[in-house]
Amino acid sequence: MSSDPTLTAKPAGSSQGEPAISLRNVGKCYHIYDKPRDRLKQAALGKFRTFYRPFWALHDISMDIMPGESVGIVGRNGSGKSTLLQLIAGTLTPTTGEIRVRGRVAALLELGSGFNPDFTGRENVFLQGSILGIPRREMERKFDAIAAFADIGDFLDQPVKHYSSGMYARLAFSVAVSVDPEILIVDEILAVGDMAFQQRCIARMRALLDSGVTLLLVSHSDDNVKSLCRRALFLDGGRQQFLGSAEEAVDRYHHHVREEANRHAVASGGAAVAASEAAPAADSLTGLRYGTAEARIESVRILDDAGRPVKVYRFGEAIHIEMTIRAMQDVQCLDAHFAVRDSVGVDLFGTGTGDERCPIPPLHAGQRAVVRFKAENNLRPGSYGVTVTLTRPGEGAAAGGVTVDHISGAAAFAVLADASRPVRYKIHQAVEATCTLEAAPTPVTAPAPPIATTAAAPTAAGTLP
Amino acid sequence: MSELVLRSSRPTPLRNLLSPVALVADLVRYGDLLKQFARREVEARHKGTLLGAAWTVFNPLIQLLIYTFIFGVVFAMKWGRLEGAGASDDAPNPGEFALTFFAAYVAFTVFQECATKAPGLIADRPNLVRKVVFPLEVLPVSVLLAQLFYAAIGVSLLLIATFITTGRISPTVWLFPVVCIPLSMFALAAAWLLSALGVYIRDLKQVVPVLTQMLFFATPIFYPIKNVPEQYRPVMEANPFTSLVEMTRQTLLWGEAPNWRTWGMLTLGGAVAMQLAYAWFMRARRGFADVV
Repeated sequence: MSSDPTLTAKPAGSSQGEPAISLRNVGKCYHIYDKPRDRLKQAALGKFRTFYRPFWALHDISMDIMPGESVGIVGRNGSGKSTLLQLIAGTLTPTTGEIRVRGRVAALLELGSGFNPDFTGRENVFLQGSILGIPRREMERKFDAIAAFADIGDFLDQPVKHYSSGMYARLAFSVAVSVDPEILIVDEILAVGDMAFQQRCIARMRALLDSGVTLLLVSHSDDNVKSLCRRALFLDGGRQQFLGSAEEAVDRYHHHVREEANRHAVASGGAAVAASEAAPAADSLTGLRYGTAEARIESVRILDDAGRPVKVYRFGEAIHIEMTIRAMQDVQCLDAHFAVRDSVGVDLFGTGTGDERCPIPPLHAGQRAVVRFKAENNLRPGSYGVTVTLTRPGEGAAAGGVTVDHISGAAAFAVLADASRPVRYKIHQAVEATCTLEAAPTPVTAPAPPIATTAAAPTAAGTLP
Repeated sequence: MSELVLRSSRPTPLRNLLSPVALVADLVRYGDLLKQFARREVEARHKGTLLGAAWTVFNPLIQLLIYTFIFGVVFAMKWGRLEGAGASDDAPNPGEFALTFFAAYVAFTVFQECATKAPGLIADRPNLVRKVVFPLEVLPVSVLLAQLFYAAIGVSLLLIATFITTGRISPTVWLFPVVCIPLSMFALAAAWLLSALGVYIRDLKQVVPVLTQMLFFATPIFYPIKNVPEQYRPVMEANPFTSLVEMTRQTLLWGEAPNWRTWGMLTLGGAVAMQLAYAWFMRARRGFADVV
């Protein structure tokens, strides 16, 4: 909500007290017209009535960015990040408030912007130069460097509309960083480049930052925001939720996303339980769902040791996953599984009633069974989803059964960072570390290693019930 | 020193937009861009054609030949003012009428093309409006520059043709660029006004060609003003293009200097119209990105 005064005070390297970018109560409202005719009515009769629905993409943003500072903007899609950058870059006009920009701005806005698609790459380079008021001769001098950095070969003389998104980003970035900008605005464009190019871009942005350029960055890569930016702004629903250190802004953003996801999951889980008498819980669980449906998973809940729904776990706590199953007809044997999946979609661990020798008894139509799994949390901090599956084993193809019900992302939880017990890889395995000193010192010239380290993992199977 | 750019929810004060200094500074600042776009405007027309740039000459030449044939041969019309072209003879030179018509036509075309191109000029370029920080006000100017380039070719052909038919060239040709000043001002005023309006009112694209066509007939371009009945003359003379095409003929064909009082009034009127249209454009452009 407010900025940390120690961070607003200026970073090293700048002498002037004037901010490079200053926003005062900036808002942007779009007018949504249902019919084109209404636009005309509005123009003619706007004084008496409004014919549009207002949509506020951005509300009351105020911040100062000092020269040489680097500020990230985080938020979900549609939170107003791009609108804010466009307002600062000047392609949009604010509805309320005022923006002051001091210095030459090079903007890399969303993909497909910045260049005229019908012009060739070469022409666009000069076009950009003349828009920024750089004399043609100077652009000619810079041209080789731009072409070399973009490294797109003969495509330079093709119309930009034939470019791949990667080539586009390459050229756009090399122009932007080569025109000696005082303010560089980068919106997400790095995501489309390949790894090598991204690395080069980041190195270049660092170099520009060192030379005193002001950077404004929107990126979905937390690492980029955290490593390139000192401060960050977290936007949600067009409102300024937080402005402060990049670390904290990113964390708050993540926290917010998880809260949202968990609220959703918990709410739908709870709703399913509440509504379970009325109807089969066909749509109460969201996510990708399929199966033969002779039995349904009515709810999936993430619980703490006391059986209360939770959203977050700390390292070492027990994760409880509770599945309520309802038979829609008589079923003889069912097998319930779960899998925990990380934010990039990798299944980390999971098991099932069959594997754990905990069979579900035969169910009559309408009867319910509750399956509970308990596992120790040894996951790295982050957000996780739970996928649940109900199968009828021993039938169907060799695949190992018929899928009765399957829900991807039926529930979600988060793992909090614990500074005293960092988890650096995806999963922490219980590891024993020992260190011993050899009794007698040996001459330094001897090739034998003086210290021996041993490690063992004796409890590999002990983490799951 | 780096300059401060202010983007406010409040529009730029009209006072600033109505200053001719601001207008000129704006255009000078984007001089390179103007040249680039004017060149593209010309090149785009012939891109991919076999004859390429030769079309810029062939087009007006073919037109000139057609008009000569229709007006001079088929209708055997005569204007009666071009000396040495058999003007006062009983057997008129077929080129005389065509040249007199063509001089006015070339000048009027500058305005007509600027006006008819304007409504789509901004509206059809969403890329430049939404995706680039682009000084859109240069687009109408680049169209004018391209049209002046075509006019220069047309005038060159006209002068060659006049020399062939009459054996001489008007001694006041050098004054034609002076006549182009008020002409360009009106053309630019129309271009700025209509290009900004065209973003909001798409119908203009259909309406403007009809209007310029009407203006074409209401201007003594293919008839002498003396043919117009006396009672309609004041209406005709209120049309600035009546004086503009007349001055064009005076300088390009008849060896006369324009009436400087009329010229001064036209230039003043053109400058005011241009400044107002510029201010309107700059005000209206704030909303372009929301509409295009």
